[in-house]
Amino acid sequence: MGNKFILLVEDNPDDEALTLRALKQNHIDNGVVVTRDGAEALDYLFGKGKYAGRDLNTMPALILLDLKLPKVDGLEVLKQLRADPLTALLPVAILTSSSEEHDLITGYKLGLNSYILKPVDFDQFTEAVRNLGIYWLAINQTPPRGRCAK
Amino acid sequence: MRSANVSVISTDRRHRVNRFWAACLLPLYKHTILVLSLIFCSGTLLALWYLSHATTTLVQSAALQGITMHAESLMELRSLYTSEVVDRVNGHSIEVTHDYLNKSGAIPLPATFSMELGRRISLLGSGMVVRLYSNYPFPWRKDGGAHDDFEQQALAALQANPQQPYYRFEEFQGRASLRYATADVMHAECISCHNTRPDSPKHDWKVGDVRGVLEIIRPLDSVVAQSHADLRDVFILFGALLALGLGALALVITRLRRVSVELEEQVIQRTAQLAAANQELEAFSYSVSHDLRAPLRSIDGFSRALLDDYSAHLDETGKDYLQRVRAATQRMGQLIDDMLKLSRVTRSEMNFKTVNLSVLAQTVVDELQHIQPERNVEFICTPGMLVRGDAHLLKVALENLLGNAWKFTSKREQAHIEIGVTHQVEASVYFVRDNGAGFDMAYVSKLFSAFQRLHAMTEFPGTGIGLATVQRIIHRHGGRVWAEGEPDKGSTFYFTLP
Repeated sequence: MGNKFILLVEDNPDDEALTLRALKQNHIDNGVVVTRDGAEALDYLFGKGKYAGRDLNTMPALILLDLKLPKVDGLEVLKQLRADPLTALLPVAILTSSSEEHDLITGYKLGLNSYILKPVDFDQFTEAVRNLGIYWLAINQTPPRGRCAK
Repeated sequence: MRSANVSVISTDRRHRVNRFWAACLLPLYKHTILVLSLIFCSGTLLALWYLSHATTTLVQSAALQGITMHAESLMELRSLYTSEVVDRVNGHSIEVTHDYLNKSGAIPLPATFSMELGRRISLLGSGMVVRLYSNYPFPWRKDGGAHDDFEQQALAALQANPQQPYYRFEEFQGRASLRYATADVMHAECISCHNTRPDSPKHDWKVGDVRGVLEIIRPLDSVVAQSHADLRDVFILFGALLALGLGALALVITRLRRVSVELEEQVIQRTAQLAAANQELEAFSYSVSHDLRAPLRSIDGFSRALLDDYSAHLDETGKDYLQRVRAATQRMGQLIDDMLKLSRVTRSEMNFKTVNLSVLAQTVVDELQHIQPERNVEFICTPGMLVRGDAHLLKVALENLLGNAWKFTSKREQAHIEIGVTHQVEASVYFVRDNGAGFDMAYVSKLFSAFQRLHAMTEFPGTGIGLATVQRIIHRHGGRVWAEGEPDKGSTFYFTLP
């Protein structure tokens, strides 16, 4: 899978550990970047704050975004990503416990690529993460870097 | 199918007619006092018009009756004078002449007698006038012929029909009056005299000929004025009563309006409170959905991690305990999901349409059969059951009812499930019947409560949310739902959809 990597935005350490475990079990854990709130995720993607000077040519192949996040929530992060040409075309999948129709509709209206409900059953959860990783990192084609929407 | 269609069409028409009437009655409700005033005023005017008309008729018929008696008295008096006076003095050297005042020992002619009587009546001051006229007046009469249109008409009419008096209500000398004319018919005792007197204008009179006309004119203006004055008094009385009545009515309506405004304010207040409570519930169910599931996932996930990574350190009992922890988290996850579904049934917006319940039921059973192709179930469905409701919610209700029937017949070799309708007087009652495990009627009251189960989990799985969901859906449609059952025989669930 080369230099393709996932950005995980998750504030719950348990969920972080379980997601990383599931990724590891499916061998898609090379260079996963973890940020623990919406503001940190934005800092990482735009090279600000503690990520100042980061090489912005390196972008994740998939962003796994939780909805309920401290500081800046998931939908707001998505909105800001879609507003900036640098990140407008990055694949974003929301990984959440909320099955609220309202969140789903708002998410897709903002340009979401995928909405995955975190199952309580860890086996199902592992399966969902595996499918996600294979689809977005191996099967799916992303637009070439530097040709982002103007 | 056709009868069901017809009933839907007639329901639509009824809705349209109701809307039309509501639109017609709206202004009436909005301006109640104005409309009532208009109705009352028109009613009063109508009554007064009728009263005035009736009074006029009454005055005229009373005047006519009086004048008829008057005329008969005058005629009778003259006949009496002719037969008892003039005839008896005949041959006794007493002269009978119109000029009796200037001749000693003379008496008046019957006609002269009548005219003198009329003149004296006129002098009494009642305004009544008596006149005699004819097409053949005696030469000494200065005004013996017809004077005006009425007199000409009266002469002509009475010549043609002497028995029928001729009368008109008309102005006479500037006063509203009744003019009444009767025929002066030749009697046997008059003939000899009239045919022999040298100054008689006509000598071939026969008995029954119309000699002339006796007319009585009676002014009615004072009576009419009196009746109008009375009518005015009645009008004033009516008006006063009407004003009082309308005032009282306005007072009552204003009071009622105020009460309804107060009630409306209360309703708005309560609705706002309800909406706030509902919002809190929504926020609650959101956090249930999001926050309760996360720790469950941790429990399950780390239990699995323990089993995977540390199984060497666990004996069989330890592993079994971990499996039980995992099973319990699954079940709790299911409970949370069902609870959310139930709350969504209450919150979702209703979209009323005509729904074919039969098609919906068949779809649900097809899905059930697809999931469990090995099940052998005989499904009977009455076709063409058309109802008005929210298609999505009705499908959820049928999924639960038919899903239950499917589940509780799982131990039957030959399972029967039936959905149909019976038409009662007040409503159509739909039913879902099965020959499954049934239930004891002693627990029927618990059937529709959330998380209440009547069967052991090991026997039939479930969270006990299905029938609570069904009840909420039917209640949201304004219908009723109830059940009958017998252990080991099966159960029947009934519902209505108005």
